[in-house]
Amino acid sequence: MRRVLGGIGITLLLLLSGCDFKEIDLRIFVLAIGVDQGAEEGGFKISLKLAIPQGDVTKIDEKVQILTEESPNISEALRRMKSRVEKELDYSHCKSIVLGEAVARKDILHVMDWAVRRRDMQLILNFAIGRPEALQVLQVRPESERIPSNSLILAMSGQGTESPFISSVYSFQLMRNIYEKGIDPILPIIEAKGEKEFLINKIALLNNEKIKMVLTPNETRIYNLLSRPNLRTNLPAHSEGVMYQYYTERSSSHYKILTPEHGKATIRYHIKIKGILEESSSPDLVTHSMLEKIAVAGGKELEADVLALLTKIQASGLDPFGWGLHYGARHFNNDTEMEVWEGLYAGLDFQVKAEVNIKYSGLIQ
Amino acid sequence: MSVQQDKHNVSLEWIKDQLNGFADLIDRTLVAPFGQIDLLYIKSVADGQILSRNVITPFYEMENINAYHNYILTYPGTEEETTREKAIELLLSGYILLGLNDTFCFFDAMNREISGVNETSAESISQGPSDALTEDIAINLNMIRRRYQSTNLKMETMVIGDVSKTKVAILYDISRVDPNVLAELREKMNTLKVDILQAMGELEKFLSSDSLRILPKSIVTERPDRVVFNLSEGKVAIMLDTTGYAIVLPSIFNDFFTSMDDKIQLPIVGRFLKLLRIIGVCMTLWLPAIYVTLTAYNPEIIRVQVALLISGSRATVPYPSFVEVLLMLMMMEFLTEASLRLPKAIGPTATTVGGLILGQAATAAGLVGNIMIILVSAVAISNFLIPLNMMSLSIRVLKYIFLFAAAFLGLVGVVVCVVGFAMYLCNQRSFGQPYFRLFFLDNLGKKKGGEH
Repeated sequence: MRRVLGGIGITLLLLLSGCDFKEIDLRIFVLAIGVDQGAEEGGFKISLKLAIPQGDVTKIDEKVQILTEESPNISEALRRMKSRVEKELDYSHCKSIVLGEAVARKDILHVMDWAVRRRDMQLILNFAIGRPEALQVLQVRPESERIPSNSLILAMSGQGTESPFISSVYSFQLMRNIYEKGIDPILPIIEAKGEKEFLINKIALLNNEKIKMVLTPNETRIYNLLSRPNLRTNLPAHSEGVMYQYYTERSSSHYKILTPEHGKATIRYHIKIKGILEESSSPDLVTHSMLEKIAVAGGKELEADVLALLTKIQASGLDPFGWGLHYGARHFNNDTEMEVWEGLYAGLDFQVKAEVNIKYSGLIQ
Repeated sequence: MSVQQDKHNVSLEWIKDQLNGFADLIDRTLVAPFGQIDLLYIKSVADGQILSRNVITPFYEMENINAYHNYILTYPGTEEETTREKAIELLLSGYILLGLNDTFCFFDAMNREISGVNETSAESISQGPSDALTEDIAINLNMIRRRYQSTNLKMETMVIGDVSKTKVAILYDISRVDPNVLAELREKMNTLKVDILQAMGELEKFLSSDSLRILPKSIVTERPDRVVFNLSEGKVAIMLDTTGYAIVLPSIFNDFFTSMDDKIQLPIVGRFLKLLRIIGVCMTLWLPAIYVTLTAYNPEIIRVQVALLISGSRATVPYPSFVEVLLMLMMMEFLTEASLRLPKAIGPTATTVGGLILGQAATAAGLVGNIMIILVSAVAISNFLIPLNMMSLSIRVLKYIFLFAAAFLGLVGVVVCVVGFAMYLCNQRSFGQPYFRLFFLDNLGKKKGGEH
């Protein structure tokens, strides 16, 4: 009996469909996809960045091929591109989709839907907006790059640079943020600076289909500080006419939505930063009491910056932090809570408390 | 003391008739003033020196035949047996038949051509004892007794093989051994019917009936300290004369990955070494299969950098990856086997020719990828981490099953095979003991020597 059951089990397991047999050297890996607006109205211009592996590993020389095809729809463009290469296009290693700014300003839903729906594309690929066009971003080849498109992968995944201005968005996150009530998607913006360099230091706030607002680099940093823990950055503090910069060794931010029975609904942010002094415009000795003063001054400046960003976001009517989701999760009037929230949102008040603690002056004298 | 011999059963004539055609049969009569004795022995198995010193010289120094008879009986090996079969057996094993008046005595003058105690060759360790079991059972028993000085160590002897008459000793610690195992073993040994028993492996084969089994269920070892260690764990050791190895049973999967080093080293180091071996087994079993899966079915599992690297290294390879792997693995097996059979003096040539030139040339010619060479070497090296040769060979064969599953079914095949292998291991029993259990003893603290 056991034997029979075991046999049946194994047979059923073997009936599972695996993947097709296709040698790795007969596949060509697509590492990035760029989606731009086509010349025709409603059409797409799809660009694929293909990695060409080299036989000789000792001779480092990246080889890339970029294919571009215009078509009224994405699938058609990809199928047409298949007959322009000799190997099978493999999307399993595709790590980024770059949307042209024009597409992102019009409608991202179509592309997002396609990327999530396609079975051989992973849900952890990075979505970004390319400026001025996705194709130009794909064409960027930094000098330091050794593996095709590696720089884009490293920058967006946080494995390489830990820039405080970059925030990455996976396709599953994008989809979730679009369809979820009470949270709006964001997308990082990659700007191509010539052939050899790109710049990622802004994020775009979107409503559920297109770009509504673009944050400045400084605002992007504040956004990152509020949305993830332990952001490593420098922040300014002006005390007694001297400019200081401190490095945030640890940071955390929490918020509470207060809805008192009388009075306005308030979001209270509480930011905690543990920092080290990094730069000072005066050569004077920094004493412990001065450190405390600098910390207080830094906290004040940060509070002002955060408040400015929060009010700006509120004015746009967007909700990239997911306050609405947070509100809905803590209230149980399930049928009406989102309407209540929408009523509350425009009149929200913000309170920001930044607790900066600079523990070390950076020098021992 | 002296027992009257049954003339109907044993007679000099009958024995001589039985041993007719033996060129080395010596039949003599010694005559002294007080009487005479008959000597009958086989020259090649009896020791001439013992004979002249202990039998012939005293005979001429004695006063009468009874005193001589009593003197002969004082030797511990002397036997006075009655049956015909026993008499022939004793003569064949090197005893001397003494005909005194009407009685017969068998005097032990066995000539033992033994090899001295050698160093271990197959299971060598860096520190610790290096004595190996010899081909003489008496010396082996001496080595075991010296290391296990307990009255609980019991020994049973029997003779197996209708022609070879191989002496077999079964050793166990009566206070620790599982009586069921012992009973099962005795039953199997008693039903054993063979003509020639010369190697431990043969006996091992007879003891476990399943002919399709791929994993060894009893350890064949040449290390007396391993035998002693296992005896202390309550296992049974079987020793065979003329082989130089001992069988230890019941043995579980884990036992095959225990080296005698583990107890010599510091505990953490010992555990680390064991972990290394387990990782080594996993590598040698699954690396070829995983390579095939990753290159032919699911390249999305590995990082893009590695995928491009493999893709690049395979750019010139004309065959699909599993042919490539199979080719190189076979090459490696040939190399291992060849270097085993070659005389010691030219052994290194095989490794140089095979390893260096073949590997280099194959990649240079573009027949196999660079990464493939690394993989095959890793598989070969990690296979040799397994301390016991029998298990090492089993694992060597098993990896092809995984490879074929990977070649035809991809990752699903590998997963099915791993699940199947785990089920197979769990299903196995070694003399009633679950084969895949983690430790042989349930409570490690209670019995000394049970520490893994």
